[in-house]
Amino acid sequence: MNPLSILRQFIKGLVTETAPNQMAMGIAFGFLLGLIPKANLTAQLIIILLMVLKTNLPMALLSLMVTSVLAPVFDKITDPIGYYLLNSPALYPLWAKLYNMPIMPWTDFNNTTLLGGLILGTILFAPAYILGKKFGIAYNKKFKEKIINSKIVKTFKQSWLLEWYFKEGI
Amino acid sequence: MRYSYILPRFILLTAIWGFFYFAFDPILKWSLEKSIGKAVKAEVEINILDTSFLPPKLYMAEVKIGDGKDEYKNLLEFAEMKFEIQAAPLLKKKFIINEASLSGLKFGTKRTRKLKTSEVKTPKFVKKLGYVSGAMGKAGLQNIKSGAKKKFEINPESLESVIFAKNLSKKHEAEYDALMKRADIKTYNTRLSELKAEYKSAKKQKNFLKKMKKLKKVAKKANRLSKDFKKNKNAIEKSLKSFKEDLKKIEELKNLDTKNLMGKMNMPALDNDSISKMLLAPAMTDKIEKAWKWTTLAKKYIPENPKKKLLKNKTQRGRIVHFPKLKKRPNFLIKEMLISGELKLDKPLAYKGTAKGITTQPFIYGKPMTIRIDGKTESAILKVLCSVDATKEVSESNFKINYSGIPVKKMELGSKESFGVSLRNGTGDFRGDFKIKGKALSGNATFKIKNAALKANAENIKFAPLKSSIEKSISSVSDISADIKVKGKLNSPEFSFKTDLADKISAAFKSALGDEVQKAKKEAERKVAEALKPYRAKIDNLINTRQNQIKKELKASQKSISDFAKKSIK
Repeated sequence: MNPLSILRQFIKGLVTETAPNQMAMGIAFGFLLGLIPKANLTAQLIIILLMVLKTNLPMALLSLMVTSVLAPVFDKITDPIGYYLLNSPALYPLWAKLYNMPIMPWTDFNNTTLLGGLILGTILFAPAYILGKKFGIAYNKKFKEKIINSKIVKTFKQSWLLEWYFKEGI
Repeated sequence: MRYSYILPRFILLTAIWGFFYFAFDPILKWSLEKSIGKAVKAEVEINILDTSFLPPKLYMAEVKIGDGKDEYKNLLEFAEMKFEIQAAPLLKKKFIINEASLSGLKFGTKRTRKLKTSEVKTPKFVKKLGYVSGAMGKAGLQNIKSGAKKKFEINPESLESVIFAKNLSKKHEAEYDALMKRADIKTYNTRLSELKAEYKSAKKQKNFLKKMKKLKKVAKKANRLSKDFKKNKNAIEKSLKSFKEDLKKIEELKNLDTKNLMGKMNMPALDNDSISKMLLAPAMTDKIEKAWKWTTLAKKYIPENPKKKLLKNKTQRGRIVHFPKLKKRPNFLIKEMLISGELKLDKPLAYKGTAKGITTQPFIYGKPMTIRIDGKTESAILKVLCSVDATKEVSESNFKINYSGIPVKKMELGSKESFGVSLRNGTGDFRGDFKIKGKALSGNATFKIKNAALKANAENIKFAPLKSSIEKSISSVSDISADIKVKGKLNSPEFSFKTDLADKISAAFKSALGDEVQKAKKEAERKVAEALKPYRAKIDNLINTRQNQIKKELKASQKSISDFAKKSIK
C-alpha cells in the first residue's frame, strides 16, 4: 500500500466506516495488538484479520498507538501471566508439542509477554469492544459532522489529483 | 460473481506480494546495515541485497564495513556473499545453511566517501601499552647529557609503590581483623556447647540402643563441625597466602618507580624490556587493538559454556521460555563457508579457505568451528588455522598464523618524540600462536625480518656520543627478531615485548654513558627504598605479628574441635 492509499483509508475510515460496532471492533483489535510484541507471526495474523474484517482502521491504529505507549505498564501484568502459563507443568506437553511443530516457533508463543498479552487481550476484548461501541455512538453524534466538514477532509476530497487517482473518490 | 468479497481479499494479497517484492529487500538491507553497524560500532554499506523465497536465498554484494576511528578507511569489505537457507528447518525458525560463499574479502581498504565515525573508546590496556616509563619515554632521551642529574627531590606520595603499600597496609589491617574473627573459636562455641550438651545427655542414657543412636548422631554432628572448620581454615590460609602475593606487586611497582626516577635523573633504564617496549609498542598498538576488537566481537557471539544461553533476553519485550527439541538443531548454522579474498600489505596476496560450523549454538551442533585459510604468491606463503570449540564446559579457541616471505618495504619502530628505527626493503616471517580458554588469553608471536636496511632516527638525542653510538650500532644490523607474549584475561591482557635490537641499543647506551647509568640506577633504587621503608616495615610487621596470631588461634580452635570430635567418636 502506498502512502496516499493509507491516507485515503485513514480519512475514509474517519468519515465512512464509522458504525459504532466497526469502531468498537477497531479499538478492541488495536488494544489486543498493542499488548503483544509485533515482530512475530501472531501479530501479523491479527493485522491480516483486522484488515479482512470490516473494522474501522483509524480507530484500530489510534488504539494500537495508545496501548503500545503504555506497553511497559501492561508488560508488568502480561509477563507474569505468560511466565506462569509457560512454566505450568500441566501445560508443558502442549507447549513442548507446539515448540516442535513447523511454523509455530514463528508465532513467538513462547515469549512471556506475547502469551500473557494474548490472554489478557482476549479477556479484555469484550470490555474494550463495549467501551469502544459507546465511544463510537458518541463520536457519530458529536464529532463525525465536524470531521466531514473539516478543512483537511474537504481539501482532500476536492483534490483533482486524488479524484483522478482514485476515480471513485472517498 | 461476488466482487465485494473477492476484491478486498485480492487487494490484500496484492499488497502482501507488493510488500515482499518491493519493500522487503530495502527494509532487510537497512536493518542489516543498522544491526551490523551497531555491533561493530561503525557505518556499514550494503550496495546490493537480493532475497528470494522459493528457495530461500540471500545475496549481498559490495559490502563495506567502515572503520569507526578512520573516516576514509574500511575495516573490511567483500565483493559477494551468497547462501541458500534450508526450507524445512526454516519453518521451525532454524536458519540452516549448507554452503555459503564469501568472496573478495579485503581488510583495511581505503575509501573515497567520508564515513561517519563514532567515538570508539580505547581500552585501558591499549593506553597502557603506549606508556613507556622513565627516560625511554616521551622526549626523555632528548635531555640526556654527559652525566646523571645529581640533585633532585622526590615526593614519596607520588611514588606508585608508596601509594600501593599505603593502601595495602590499610587493607591488610582490616582483613586481618576479619580473618581473626573467623579463626576465633567463639565462632564455633554455640555449636560446640550444643554438641557437648547432647553428648552429656547421650552418655546419661541408660538404654544402650538409644544411647548408641544418640552418640552416633553427636559423632556425625561433630564430624560436620570439623569439616566446616577445615573448610574455613583452608579459606583463611588461602587469604594469608594471597597477602604475600601482594608483596610481589610492591616489588614490581618499585622497579617502575626506579625507572621513572632514572628518567628524572635524565638516565635511561637499560633493561631489554623497556627498550623493546619502546621500540615495538608504538608499531603494534593499532594492530593489537584491532585484533582485540575482532576477538571480543566474535566472543560476544560464542557462549563461554554450554549452559550459557546466547543472546538471552535480547528480545525487547518479555522473556523466552525454551522447551526440549525432538530434533536438535541450532538456531543458526552455516555448515561450510567458502572464503576468498586478498590481503593487502606491501604486496597483495590472494587467499582462499573455508570456515566450517559457524553457529550461534555450538553445544547443540556439537562440533567446533574451524577456519582454514591458505594463500600463496611467488615468495610468500600464508596459513591460518583457527578452531573455536564452545561445545565443552569451558570454551577453547586456538589461532595459528604462519606468514612467511612477507615483503616489508617500510616499517617504523620506536617513537618520533624519543628515538626510533626505520626499516626498509626486508623480508619478514610471522608466526603467531594464541589460545583463549574461557576468559583467559595466552599466546606468543614472533616476527623476524631479514635483509633489511636499518637506520636510527636519533635526531632528538642531543648528547652527541650517545647519538653516534646508537647510529653506529643500528647501521650494522640487517636482521631483527621481535617476540610478543600475551597472557591474562581477555578484557585486560598483558603484553610483553622482546627484540634483539634492544640488546644492541642497550650496549650503545652503556658504551656512551659508561657506568653513569648503573650509578643512577643505584641512586634511584636507594631513594625509592627509603621512601617505601616505613610502609613496607608496617606491612612486614603486620605479616609477622597478625599472621602468627591468626595461625595460633586457628591451631587452638582446631585442637578443641578435634579433641571433642575424637571424644565423641570413641
